[in-house]
Amino acid sequence: MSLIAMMVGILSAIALYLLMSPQLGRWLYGFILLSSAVNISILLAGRVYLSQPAFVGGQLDMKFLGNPLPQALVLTAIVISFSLTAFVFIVLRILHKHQASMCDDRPEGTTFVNRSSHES
Amino acid sequence: MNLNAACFPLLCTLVTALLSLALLNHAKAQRQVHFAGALVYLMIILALNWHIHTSGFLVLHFGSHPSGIAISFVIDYFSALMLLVTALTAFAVVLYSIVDFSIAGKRIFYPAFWFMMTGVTGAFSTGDLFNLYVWFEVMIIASFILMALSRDQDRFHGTMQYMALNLLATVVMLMAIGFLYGISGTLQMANLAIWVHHSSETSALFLVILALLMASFAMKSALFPYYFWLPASYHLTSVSAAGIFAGLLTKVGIYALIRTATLLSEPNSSLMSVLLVLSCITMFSGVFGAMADYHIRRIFSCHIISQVGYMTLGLAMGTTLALSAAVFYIVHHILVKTNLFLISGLITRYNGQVDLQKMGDFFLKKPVVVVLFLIPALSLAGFPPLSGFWAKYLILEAAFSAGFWISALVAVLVGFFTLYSMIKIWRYTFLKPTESHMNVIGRSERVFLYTPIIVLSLLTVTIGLYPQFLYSLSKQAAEALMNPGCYFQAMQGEIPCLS
Repeated sequence: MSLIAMMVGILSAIALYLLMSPQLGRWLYGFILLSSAVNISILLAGRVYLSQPAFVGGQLDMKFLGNPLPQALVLTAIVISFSLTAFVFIVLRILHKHQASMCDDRPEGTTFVNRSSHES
Repeated sequence: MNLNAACFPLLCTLVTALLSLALLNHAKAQRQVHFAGALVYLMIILALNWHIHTSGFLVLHFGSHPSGIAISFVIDYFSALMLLVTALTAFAVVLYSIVDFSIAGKRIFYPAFWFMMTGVTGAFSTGDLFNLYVWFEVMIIASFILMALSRDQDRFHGTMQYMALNLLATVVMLMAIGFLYGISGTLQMANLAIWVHHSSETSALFLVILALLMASFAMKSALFPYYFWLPASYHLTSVSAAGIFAGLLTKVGIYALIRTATLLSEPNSSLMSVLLVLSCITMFSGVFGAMADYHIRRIFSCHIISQVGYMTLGLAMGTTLALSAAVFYIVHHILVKTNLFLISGLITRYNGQVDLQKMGDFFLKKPVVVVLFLIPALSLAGFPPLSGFWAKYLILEAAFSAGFWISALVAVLVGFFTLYSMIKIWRYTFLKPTESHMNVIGRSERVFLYTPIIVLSLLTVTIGLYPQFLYSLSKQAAEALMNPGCYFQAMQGEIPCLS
């Protein structure tokens, strides 16, 4: 349990490091990593790790029965964060393509645009 | 009216969104659905308000599961008031958007607008923390579409900042909600509040989690130091979208902040003093941004930030008077801010410019626009007898009676600086002569452009002349927030009490 908790901590630390990067690609990886770390932490906070499946094997001690709510929460959170990330990718891609075709000399301070336009 | 009425506003927005999505290839029918949806929404919410004030709070447990297991919708005085002002601004913006030049030919605007309204309505109605998170997500994913629909050439950077900060805020909120579930075992706000007040272990851990939760709401409502996404992005989108964003999106964050702070924390908690300092810095940073800028809609965006500071100041002072001042301020601000964005759209429509230095001559050529601009602008700066004067007066009185002298001084100074930035707009846009000519707008378009502005201005003047009505509503809401006994009773299925 504590090992997994520490792993989540390390994962969040890496995610935060990536989030501080001025490069769009790294930022997005950081965001994906952070939302995964949060999803795992919901499961951990709901103590899914220690629990037993409900009504299987005859063990009916309420203390150890599985609680379905954290799993429902994390399922919703995974679906939302996945679709949101995919959606943001697409919107930024479209905007970027549009912008690249509209103006070639970009103003200063648009680091995201400059770096990613060199790649494509 | 049965209890199912609690989800009628949500159903109305959702049905309108789906219908306008289905009619994507029929521009005229889509606009009719858009208008009819706004009208029905306003009617439903008026009826809902009537019901709340005659026979008490509405609580709906979905699926008739017992309280605590079901996802619940709770409409109390505060929710009902917020829904009412949401419906009014939505109606005004819908009228304006029918002839909005900046979204012409972009039919996805209408479904996106209504999906965003679904998110806003859900966030105002729900009584469950995780459900609140889901509505926030619905709201921001629709607002991303609206944001990306702009014609501005340099929109990539601003949209990027908007998306990044909002995504981060929701992830932080999700993390806090997960931890909160871990220590309390419930996510229904009423049960959480009962757990907080009864458990002996309201420890440092709980304080950290609550701080995390409130930080995510603060990011959403553009508090210092996470406010820079707002002036970077709001001016890029279309006028209609900016009007509804300016009116509602940050205020949903404030709503969530007030709701969680009153239910889950004590008025004299250490978080509140942090919030007090942050509010004062927010007020200053927003208004300084407005003084330095020349893009008309970016000036108004900066004003949103400084005004958000006033609302959280009211929350942070922690007395009932201060909280009712905050609620009053929110209502006044939503009406005035939406109005200002619509007027800036009208001004841009007339002379085709967004930069103050290139505008001019409105005073001689379009005196009606000048009068319509003056009402919300002076109201925002806090001139009597408009609504902003009473809002600022209440905040100041609350600050003086609770002994927050420095905050009161900051509030007065910021009001003064707000007036300065309004005078700047006045000088450049209205008095300065210019060579550029005015565009001509057709009569039928003028009806749709002017009606919402006139309606919102009339509301501002009415609140200014008869502040007692709105004050009694906000006082009722604030008292119900400070003493959540009625809220708990309604949640447990007992007969809700009437004050």
